[in-house]
Amino acid sequence: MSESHSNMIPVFVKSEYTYGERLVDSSWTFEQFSKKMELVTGIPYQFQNISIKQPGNEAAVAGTPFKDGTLASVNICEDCCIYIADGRPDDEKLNLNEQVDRYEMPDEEYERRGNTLLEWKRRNMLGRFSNDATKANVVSVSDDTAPTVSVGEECFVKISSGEVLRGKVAFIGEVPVVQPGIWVGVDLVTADGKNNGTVRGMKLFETKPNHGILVRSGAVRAIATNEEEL
Amino acid sequence: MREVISLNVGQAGCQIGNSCWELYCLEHGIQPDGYMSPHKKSTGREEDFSTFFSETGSGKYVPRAVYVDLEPNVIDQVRTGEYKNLFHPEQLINGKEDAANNFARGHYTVGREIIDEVMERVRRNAENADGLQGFLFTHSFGGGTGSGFGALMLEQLSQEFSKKAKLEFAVYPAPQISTSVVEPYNTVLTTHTTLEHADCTFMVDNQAIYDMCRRNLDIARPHYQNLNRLIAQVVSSVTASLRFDGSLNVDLNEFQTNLVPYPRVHFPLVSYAPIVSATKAHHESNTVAEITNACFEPASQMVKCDPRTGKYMASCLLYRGDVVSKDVQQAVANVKAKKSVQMVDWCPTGFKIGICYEPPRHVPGGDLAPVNRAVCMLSNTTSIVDAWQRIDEKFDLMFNKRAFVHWYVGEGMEEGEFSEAREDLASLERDYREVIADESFDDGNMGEY
Repeated sequence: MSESHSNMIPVFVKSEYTYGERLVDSSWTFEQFSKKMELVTGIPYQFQNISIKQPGNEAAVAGTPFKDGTLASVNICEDCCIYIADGRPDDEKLNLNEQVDRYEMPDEEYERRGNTLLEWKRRNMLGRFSNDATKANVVSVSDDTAPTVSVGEECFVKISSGEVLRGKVAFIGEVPVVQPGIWVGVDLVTADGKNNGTVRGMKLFETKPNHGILVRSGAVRAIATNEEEL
Repeated sequence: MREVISLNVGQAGCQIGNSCWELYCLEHGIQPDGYMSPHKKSTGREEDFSTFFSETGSGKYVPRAVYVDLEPNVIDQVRTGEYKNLFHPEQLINGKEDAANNFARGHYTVGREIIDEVMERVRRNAENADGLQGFLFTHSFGGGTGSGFGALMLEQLSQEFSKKAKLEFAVYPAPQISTSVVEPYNTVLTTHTTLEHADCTFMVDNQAIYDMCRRNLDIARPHYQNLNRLIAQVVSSVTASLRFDGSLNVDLNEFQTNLVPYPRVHFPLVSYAPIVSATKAHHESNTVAEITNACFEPASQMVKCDPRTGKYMASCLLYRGDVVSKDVQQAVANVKAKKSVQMVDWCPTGFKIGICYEPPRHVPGGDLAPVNRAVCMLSNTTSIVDAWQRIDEKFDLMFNKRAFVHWYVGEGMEEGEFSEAREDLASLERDYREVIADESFDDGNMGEY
């Protein structure tokens, strides 16, 4: 028979990067609790600053001197919220707020791997690998999609809603994170766009939030051209 | 008979299991002690709950389930809880020492100590079945036991029961706030390890469920039980056709056939409607058309992503309760006409419809209002790649600094396993993008990001 665990109490545990409901044992000492929470919060137990909010009482009880007592000694009860702050100097704390470039598998690498959807499509002659794929439904990255605008040029862009917006060409090139072929990034005058120059984690150009949009070259015309032509 | 064995692994898996068995029992008129309720009224409809319950000589029904956790607390709650007599003690297995949120402990060090015992119990359940269909896993990707031990079990099952279907319901880490800081590692490691072994994985993102509880059900601070009861309704909808008379996905293998064109892209997006509290229920008419449309609202999705930016490879709409076929046909025709619903041309499966006339069951004291019909949509959409990109990015943020990697190395793992797993996930992202890679862009369907 296993021992009885009637002391297990559901509480909420919160730290800068984590939040969750946890079962804690009221007979645990703060040190035992902190050691367990090191694996949850990533904060070494010696540096955990603990404070506790009882349900219905919004004033938090600071907890750093609690190290020796048990959770029961501060009346840990159901629905308590236990906050764990990182007491280390800033430069030693884990920082998960910074931007990273997410690793993307390059084309050559993906082509080389077996057991991919690409290889399967090829083998089964699906999509662009099918025998009857006419030129019309084959992706062509050839000249006919070459943009008629250049970076820095003022332009009109026709978006999917049918609206025509003003902006400046900020990017021309391939964007493997979306679809193959040439894309044009536009920095719009208004915040009617869909990005800030970063698309699916890939930074292409930089605009104010929602001022960026990435479209096919057919949707962009240099501003010298008439708006009606789009 | 076509039996399904449920495997509830780790804290989240076991607790979701509890909510599922509570609901299954209510749906089939089985009391918490395993005996049929004397008040059970015959609905006149076919029921085949022997897929999920075995019957003993004394007329008691026992879930075809195995619970596993590396530490005792959660399983002890089952042993002492309301449903303690429902299960045979041998179905409830726990170790002494937890996995400490660490995939490596669940998969290697601590997990290895009880895997033989667990597999022995699973085998015994399998021998007790005449025509085993397969296994239904519930576990979390983020926890140590759910990710590590869950993966170990799937690997072993894959060897021993290679022909049997293996489906998963998996709790995917919430986008904004993690339950533990190493969730991204555990998620990437377990996904890599199980990618070849699971046939179909339905992901449930904690944040999405939290938001449903707050927004639709007015629960200010949802507890796991609130979340799990909601998840159980979804699991019940997905499995209803296996337990009652249904027309689609009546067999575990059908999920893969209907939803998964290529084995690696086996993570359909699940949406469910209606999700409405008892107090709001009076204001909703809840027609077939309404609930069908609601499935296309992001608020009904179990994973946060934007299907309008992707394409559908396949989709199943599983209706239950009081629905008329004509209304369903009409509702689905309307959906197909939506501009935002784009299908991949080379996937011929399209929208499939299943109807099970058994309505959803209200759990006494539960948050969801009693309703007479509901729908669950399973869609294999390329937009779910958003979920992988999110977790991969979090993985990279930590792995670039090698943060906490020593916890895993200390349990015998090598750093190379991290890189290998991450590569595999990058390849999975590419797989999703390859699905839509041959769309023509000079025919007016230009794409915009």
